Amino acid sequence: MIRDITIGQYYPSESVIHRLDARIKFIGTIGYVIALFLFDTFWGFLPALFWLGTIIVLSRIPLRFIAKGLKPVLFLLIFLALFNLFLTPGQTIFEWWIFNITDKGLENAGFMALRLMFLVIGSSMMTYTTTPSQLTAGMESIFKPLGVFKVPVHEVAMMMSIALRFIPILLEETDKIMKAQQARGADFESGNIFRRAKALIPVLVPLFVSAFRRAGELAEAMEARCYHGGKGRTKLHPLKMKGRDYVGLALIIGFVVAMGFVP
Amino acid sequence: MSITFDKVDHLYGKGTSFEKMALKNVSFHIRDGEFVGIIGHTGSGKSTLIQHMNGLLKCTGGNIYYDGKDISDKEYDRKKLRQNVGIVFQYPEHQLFEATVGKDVAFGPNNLGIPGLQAEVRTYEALRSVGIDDSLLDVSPFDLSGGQKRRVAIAGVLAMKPKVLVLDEPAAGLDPVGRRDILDMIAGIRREENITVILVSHSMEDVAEYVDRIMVMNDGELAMDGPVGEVFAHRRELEEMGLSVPQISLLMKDLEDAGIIKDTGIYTMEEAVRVLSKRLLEGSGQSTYNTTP
Ligand SMILES: Nc1ncnc2c1ncn2[C@@H]1O[C@H](COP(=O)(O)OP(=O)(O)OP(=O)(O)O)[C@@H](O)[C@H]1O
Ligand SMILES: [Mg+2]
Repeated sequence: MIRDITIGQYYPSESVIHRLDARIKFIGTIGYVIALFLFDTFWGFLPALFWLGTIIVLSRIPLRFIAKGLKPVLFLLIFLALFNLFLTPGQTIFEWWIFNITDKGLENAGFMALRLMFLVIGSSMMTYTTTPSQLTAGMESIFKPLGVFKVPVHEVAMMMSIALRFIPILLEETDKIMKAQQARGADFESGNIFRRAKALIPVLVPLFVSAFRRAGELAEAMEARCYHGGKGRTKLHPLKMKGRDYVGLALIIGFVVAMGFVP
Repeated sequence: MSITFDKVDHLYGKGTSFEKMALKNVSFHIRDGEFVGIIGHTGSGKSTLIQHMNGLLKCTGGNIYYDGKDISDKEYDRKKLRQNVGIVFQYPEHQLFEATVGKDVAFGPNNLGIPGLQAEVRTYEALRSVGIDDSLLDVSPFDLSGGQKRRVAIAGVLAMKPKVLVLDEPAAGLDPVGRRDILDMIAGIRREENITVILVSHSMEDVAEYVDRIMVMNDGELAMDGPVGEVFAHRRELEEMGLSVPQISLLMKDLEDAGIIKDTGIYTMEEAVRVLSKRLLEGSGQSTYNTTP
């Protein structure tokens, strides 16, 4: 069902990774993404897998939940892999009709697919283990220096966290509306792609209407509680680096540097 | 269509930390043409329960039968089931999407493949039975008042001519007059169309006057099931589940305990008025109790 989409969601649990300072996790994610682009042979995936595996085990998030998060990008993944598979020149190893698979194509397809999977899973780990409010606080704190250049750091961070927070709400709403229309005989599962796209109109229109209504209500509720942007705003739970956060930071730096030496 | 639930379970979010047993071992039988109220506290599983009735949710345990046929059978025509069992969801006005009221109501019939003219007739009939004037047919549903929107949304389900009509909190969020109007309207439709109606609510007051039978949901279980008067007699248990019996039945119970009236199990205002006025008339003749000290 539509509620299975887990990207950008928070998965509540008690773990070291959950308790880690949001800034460290953010830096870790950036470092991990950079590290994924530092190597160009399959060997690089070994240490990356070890790193990702350790984080997943430590975070105590069930693998099944993580696998579900891959579902929405599966289409993109297959698409990219196929492109690479058929369009890379090289030594032909398999030929049929207009299709021509080369050794290089096979290698590229596998490499791209793996890298994308690592990217998606790795960056989802950040949102799975960090509440939206921690996430905003972390980003705000990291990007604070940009304020010098008149970048509205607080506002952007707030917008992002609201957007993240609204993903599950809108998914729930979509689910509800789909059910209501199904009860009126709507059929989302059969027909060709055009019919299916058209079948979504009865879902999208109410969804947009309700998204705008919610946005208006939220703005009013925030104003009613005297929200006036970031200026002079204090925090209930200010971010504070603890021992484990420094350990985490050291490990991250170590990991990225080590990945730089992988062939 | 008779409905039978046999030991139905529903588990949400299997295998995640959100796992929630929303229905536990629910069994009941609803005969053709019954008027049933389902009440229960917030989160007790009412909405989950009714979504099983037209196959939108599949039970994770147990079986559901319509007229004795298992709806999880491969051969069972689930499309037909959606047509036969009309569900009006909580806040149905949030599902309106068409450019005009008429088109929105015709959405259901069109999906069923009913030919144009016949669909139009159904649209008219449905709108009339919910008390929406023909002049609103070409108005955008988004320009209507809250109560009108809700009526249009209900008409959208009625236009499919269901044999079983299920309404989830049809009166939620309306003012007292609006609540009465909607509920009266539903009772009227039931009388005219002679269909099974299942009314979901967390307010006893709403349900009591209309339905014949009450099912009480508590934490995913079917805690009570019986005629209205019988269920209301279990005042203690209901209060433990966070439900209260109608105010008027409390008053009548007190009067009965004080020996002023003899009738028991009165829970509707009309009944109470009838009994009390009769008692007052008697009283003025015999002066059973003194008003002067
Ligand atoms: N799609 C879902 N995924 C996970 N849990 C759910 C889902 N829908 C409902 N629940 C949970 O199942 C339980 C029963 O919910 P349900 O919506 O059936 O209650 P309800 O009796 O209709 O409540 P209300 O009076 O508030 O409408 C609740 O604890 C709810 O959190
Ligand atoms: Mg509900």
